[in-house]
Amino acid sequence: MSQEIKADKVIDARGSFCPGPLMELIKNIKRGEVGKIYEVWSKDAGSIRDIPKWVAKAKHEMVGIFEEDGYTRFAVKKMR
Amino acid sequence: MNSVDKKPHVVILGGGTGGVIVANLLGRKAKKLADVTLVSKQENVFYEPDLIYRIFDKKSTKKQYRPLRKVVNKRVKILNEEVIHLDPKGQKVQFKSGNDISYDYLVIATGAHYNYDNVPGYAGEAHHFYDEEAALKLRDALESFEGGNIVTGVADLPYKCPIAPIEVTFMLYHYFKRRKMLEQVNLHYLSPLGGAFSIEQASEKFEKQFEKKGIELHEFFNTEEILPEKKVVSSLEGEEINYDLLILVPPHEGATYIDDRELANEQGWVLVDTERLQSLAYPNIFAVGDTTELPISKAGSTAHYQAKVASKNILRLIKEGQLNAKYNGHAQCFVMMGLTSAMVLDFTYTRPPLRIGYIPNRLFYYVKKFFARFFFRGVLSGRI
Repeated sequence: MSQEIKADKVIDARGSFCPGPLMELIKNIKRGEVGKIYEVWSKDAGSIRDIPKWVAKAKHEMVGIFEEDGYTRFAVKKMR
Repeated sequence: MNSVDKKPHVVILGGGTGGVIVANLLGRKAKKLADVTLVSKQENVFYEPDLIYRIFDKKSTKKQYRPLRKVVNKRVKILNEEVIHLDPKGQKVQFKSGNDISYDYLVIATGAHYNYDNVPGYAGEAHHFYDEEAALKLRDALESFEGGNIVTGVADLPYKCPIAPIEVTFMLYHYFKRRKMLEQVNLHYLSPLGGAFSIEQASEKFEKQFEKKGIELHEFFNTEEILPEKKVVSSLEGEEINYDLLILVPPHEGATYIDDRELANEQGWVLVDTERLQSLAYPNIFAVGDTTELPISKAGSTAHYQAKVASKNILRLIKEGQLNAKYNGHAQCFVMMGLTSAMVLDFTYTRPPLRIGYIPNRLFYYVKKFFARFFFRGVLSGRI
């Protein structure tokens, strides 16, 4: 998958134990525009399980998951 | 900055935890260097965390109040005004009364406010415990509750004290157990996440307790709307839950008097550097507490620690034209696990919660239960 995806908004949630990266992502997507890409940065090991699961359940699109040095970038497209 | 013979004016907006601590620190430490004004629409400081006890007891909220003048340093001028507009370029704040005030440095600490209209169906239907009036109304609703589905959760993101709805769910269980009504009551918790909570070890603890107590956990439930005529709450993820009594943390907003989108986003959450707490657009503006867009819990403890950092940075800016204090993301939350037992979550941006805190005990409960006295006498002074 290309690492050149252009996010419309980057949410740096590294260091967020509470409320946590997924809650930051949901907060942004809820108020966001359909078709925009939101990229959340997370250091939380649980994000790799939770974020794709929520994205599937909420019927958005997981555009990409990119491992970086010490954190992961999750790019999500708002579909509805 | 003003002329050499005039002291800079520091204005603090908000008379809650963060605003009062900044006022006291600057009142003491910047007495010869600056004039300090605290603006608050309330004449009292209110200790909100004890509202979770007021839902279940018959006590008055009187002890949760202190007059602002009694807890704020005498060198700090207090204005009882409500802010309606902030002009960061003109360095001026407008009040509802028609008055205004100019500043050289500004601290925004006006916290979070509730706007029920942000979630369809919320107003007049959902209960909560995030302000005095609502908590006392919920107390009455619980007293007269005869049985059925009690659904607890969150109406919108973000919200203050992320742990509070879970605590109250545990406390509801013990409340109905005491009233010998557990067979008539079904408790449901709506979690916005894929587990009970964002911190995995804490989440596991909570989930075990939910299971043990027969509380049904609904994962990935982010409230979309409430249909009072059907007694149904629905989620963005497409689920519906029936309720007889609905207790949802209300939808929050930040400093909605700010229309400058470089300073705050559309919900009024102020955009600051995560460590310096300085506005990303205006170097003479700082923000602390619930009103910030920081990726950290909106809670009294975070406002407390942030207030100390912002005060140091303003003082250093006035003295030397530079700043060096950094907020490390420190948060400390005492979590009620029943009516007389609590655990503690203590963490920073880089350090996960301490393991010791995961053991629920009565000591942590007493710390939380009696913290109000320490709050008014110690925490607000900024000395701790």
